[in-house]
Amino acid sequence: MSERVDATPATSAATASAAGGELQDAPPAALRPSLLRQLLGDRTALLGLLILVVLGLLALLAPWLSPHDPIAQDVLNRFAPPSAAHPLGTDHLGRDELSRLLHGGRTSLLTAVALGTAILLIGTAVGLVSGFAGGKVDGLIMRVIDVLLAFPNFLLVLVVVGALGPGMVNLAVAFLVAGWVGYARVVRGLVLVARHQPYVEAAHALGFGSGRIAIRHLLPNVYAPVMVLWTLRTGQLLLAFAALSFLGLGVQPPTAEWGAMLNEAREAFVRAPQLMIYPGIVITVAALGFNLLGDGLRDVLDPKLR
Amino acid sequence: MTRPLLDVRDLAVTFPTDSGPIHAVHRMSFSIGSGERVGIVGESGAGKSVAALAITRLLAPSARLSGQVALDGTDLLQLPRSQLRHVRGERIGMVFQDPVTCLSPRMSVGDQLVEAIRAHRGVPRRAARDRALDLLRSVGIPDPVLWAKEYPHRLSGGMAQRVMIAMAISCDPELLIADEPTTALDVTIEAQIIDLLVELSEERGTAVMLITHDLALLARFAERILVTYAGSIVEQGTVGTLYGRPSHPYTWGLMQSVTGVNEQRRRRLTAIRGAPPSARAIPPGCAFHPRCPYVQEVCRREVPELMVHGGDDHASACHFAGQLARPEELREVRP
Amino acid sequence: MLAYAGRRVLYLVPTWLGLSLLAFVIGDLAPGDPVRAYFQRTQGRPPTEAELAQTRVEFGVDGSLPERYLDWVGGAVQGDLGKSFSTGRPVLDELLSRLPATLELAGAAMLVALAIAVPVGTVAALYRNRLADQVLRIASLLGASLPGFFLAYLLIMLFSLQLGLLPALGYGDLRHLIMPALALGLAESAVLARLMRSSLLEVLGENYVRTARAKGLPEWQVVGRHGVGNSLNAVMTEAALAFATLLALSAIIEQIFVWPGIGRLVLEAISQRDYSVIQGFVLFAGTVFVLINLAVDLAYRWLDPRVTLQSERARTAVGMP
Repeated sequence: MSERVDATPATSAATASAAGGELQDAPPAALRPSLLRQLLGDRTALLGLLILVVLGLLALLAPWLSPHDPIAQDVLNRFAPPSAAHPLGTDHLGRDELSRLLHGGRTSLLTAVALGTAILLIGTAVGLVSGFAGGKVDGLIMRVIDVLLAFPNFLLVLVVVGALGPGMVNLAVAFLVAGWVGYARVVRGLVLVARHQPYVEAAHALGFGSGRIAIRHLLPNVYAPVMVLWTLRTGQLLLAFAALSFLGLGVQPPTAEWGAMLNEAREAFVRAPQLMIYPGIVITVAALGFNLLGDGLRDVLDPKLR
Repeated sequence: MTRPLLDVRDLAVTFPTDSGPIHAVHRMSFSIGSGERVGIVGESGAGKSVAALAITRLLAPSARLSGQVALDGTDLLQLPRSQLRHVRGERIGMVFQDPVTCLSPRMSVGDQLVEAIRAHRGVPRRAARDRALDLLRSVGIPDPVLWAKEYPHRLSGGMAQRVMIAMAISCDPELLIADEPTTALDVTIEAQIIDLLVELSEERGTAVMLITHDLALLARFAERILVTYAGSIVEQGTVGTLYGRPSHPYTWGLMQSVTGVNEQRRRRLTAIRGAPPSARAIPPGCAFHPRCPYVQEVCRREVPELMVHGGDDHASACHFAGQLARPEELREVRP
Repeated sequence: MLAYAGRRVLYLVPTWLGLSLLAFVIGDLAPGDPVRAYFQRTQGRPPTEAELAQTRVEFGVDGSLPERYLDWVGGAVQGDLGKSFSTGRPVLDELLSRLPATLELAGAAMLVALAIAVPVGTVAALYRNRLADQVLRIASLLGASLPGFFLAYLLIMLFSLQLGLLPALGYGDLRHLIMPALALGLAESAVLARLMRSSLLEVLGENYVRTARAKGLPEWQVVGRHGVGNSLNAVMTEAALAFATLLALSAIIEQIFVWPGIGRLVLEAISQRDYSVIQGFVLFAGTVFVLINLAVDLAYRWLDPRVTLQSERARTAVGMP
């Protein structure tokens, strides 16, 4: 009898201290409603988001904001200094630099975001399938991933687009071929870890189908790391895209694109270095936006090593 | 009375956090004489390790320290950081728990000893190496030449702790602080390590402060015992008085949770109820009152002072020290 | 350890076969007929059907698709990657003759990256969340965002055009190497600096760092020997793996600085639709990268026997063999 009496308070104290340990047992970050608020509270992430929103708006509104047609040449007015008509001057063909930068953002930024998102969807889907199916399917996908991962992403894109020939469509194909692997590998790993979480095993035991478990229980866990990956990867994609255009393998003249503008400015860079500096700065700022956001996101999701 | 080697007065340690300060150590006062072996006992979270680290100021820079820690009259808390390193290792040696993780993973055992010696003694490398081998021998490591070349991950916990002890005594410190040195070691190894500490203390006249949560362990080690609870000392006395006439209800609880093999079953039943308080929210009045079987109105209001009430400096921080029934009688009172 | 190494090497076989298939497909899916183009260029006239067939045999690209693949892989195993369509020389010779310049550039870039990353990451960790850390954080994010091809021109503008200190283009002595190495290595230094910071922060929280302080070592020895010394492992591993990325990105930098490396060879091959060189390069580079990964993995295990079964399992969970 005395055993019961003595044991009761100890048990309730243990329960109380377990409740006190709620920090360790917090739900996955993605489930916390405050993720967005936390993100907005992180100065780094906020700055990154701000840069991307501003650049995105400028790109979307380029046709209305641009003072001139970005491909209209004016050979009598080449390398013009800044003026009221041309706030940033003109390039080697007399085209308005500001208008080209704005339209260039449309090509660079919007392509990067669209392509980055498409890669995310494909990669995540493959990762989920691989992680869930297991067995032979998983084995085969892993072999393919191993082969593709032997190459740095940029090199794979370079040789694929090199073989297919330059142009937007080929570039997109090359990025898709090379890009999905990174997501697939991470997502597969997350699925394998999550599959052994008690709540997922419980869902299995209750007889829920794999598809339902994937959507209800696994996606929330996969969501946060994948968002970080998307942010950082899309920043890299933007740089790679510009690099390929710079090498003449991406967007072809006269279309305005930041990397291509740098490439065109090479010829006259001693005479007009500003034509190189403007697009260079804009690319850097855009990539910085992605990196700031990604870095902030990572801190919010994994504050351990802040 | 001669000046004690280490005199800790009103030591308090606070960690500021986003969710309010944590009071890890609360006005702790005690002293250790030259060559004396003192045991500090308490449950985890009682602030005993924090106090040990505070003495040599090894806590994170965010920790707020107050009070005095006088080593031979010099207040270590006021010492400039540059002087501190001449105390650490040279006058106070330290040994911690998890010895394998306390040794640098990419440096051989011998090199780590040499490093410790040369940090304070301007001896040539060769002489330091000879001394390192002597030290390894003196802590009972067979074949020191061989083991000196090994890397920490190859050592067992007991071996690693011997190495740590060798390192701690490498510059003949006046005081050795051992913070739970045998936690997670086998019982037989534990006994060996404790015996080694006693032996070294007697041979070299080194004072040892042993921190543990195991009161029974101190029987074979300490001359004097300090009992800590919620960041304060609640009772102190010589081994004899403390084991013979404990006067704080918390100490009784600790004594009863000490398990003798044949009595294990019966005694577990009377172990202390409840859990120690969180350092964020220490109860008002006597910190032990929520768990105390004899709690009175005054215990909820007033903090009891640590007061000498018996021979041999036996002191207890209980409002009813010396007035309460002995634990043996307790069992009859509370069926 | 040996058994593990054996398993890893065995495991390379399917990966390498996959690589060869990928390389072959990339070359073969290209539009246009390089053999016809080669004949046209060398002979100055379009080939007859017989001549075309003859030239195909010469380049070893006759027969059906599977036949050509088996032929090519068979040759590759023996070190024969076919002949270049633009020079007619063996592809492997072309690749090997350009390899040293690329290795030199990428190696120098990695040195630059490490030379910047280690001190920067150390300072950031020691001043965690203070002003210096925040400034370095923004600076390294900026460094990671600065495209190499833009940085290259900024450097040329500053050091060649303004100050006249360094030659703008070309391959030769150390002065030629400085700007390309910087342009290539800066972005990587940013990544490594962040890693150095987090790695050092983790190490500084370790028990053995507390022991080093308790021993009374001077703070610079605590941080330098026990802190930085033990955090370099993670940084060096990452650096070895990132070497492949530097090799890849060096193509752009080689193009700008007219550096006679393998990347420039590939860009030339792309512009001349020289598929045998592209194919050969993909297989060659893939093989090199796979071997680097293997070497890093084995070296890591050999240098750090604490890598236990448990961490092996953890790595398998995220897809590492």
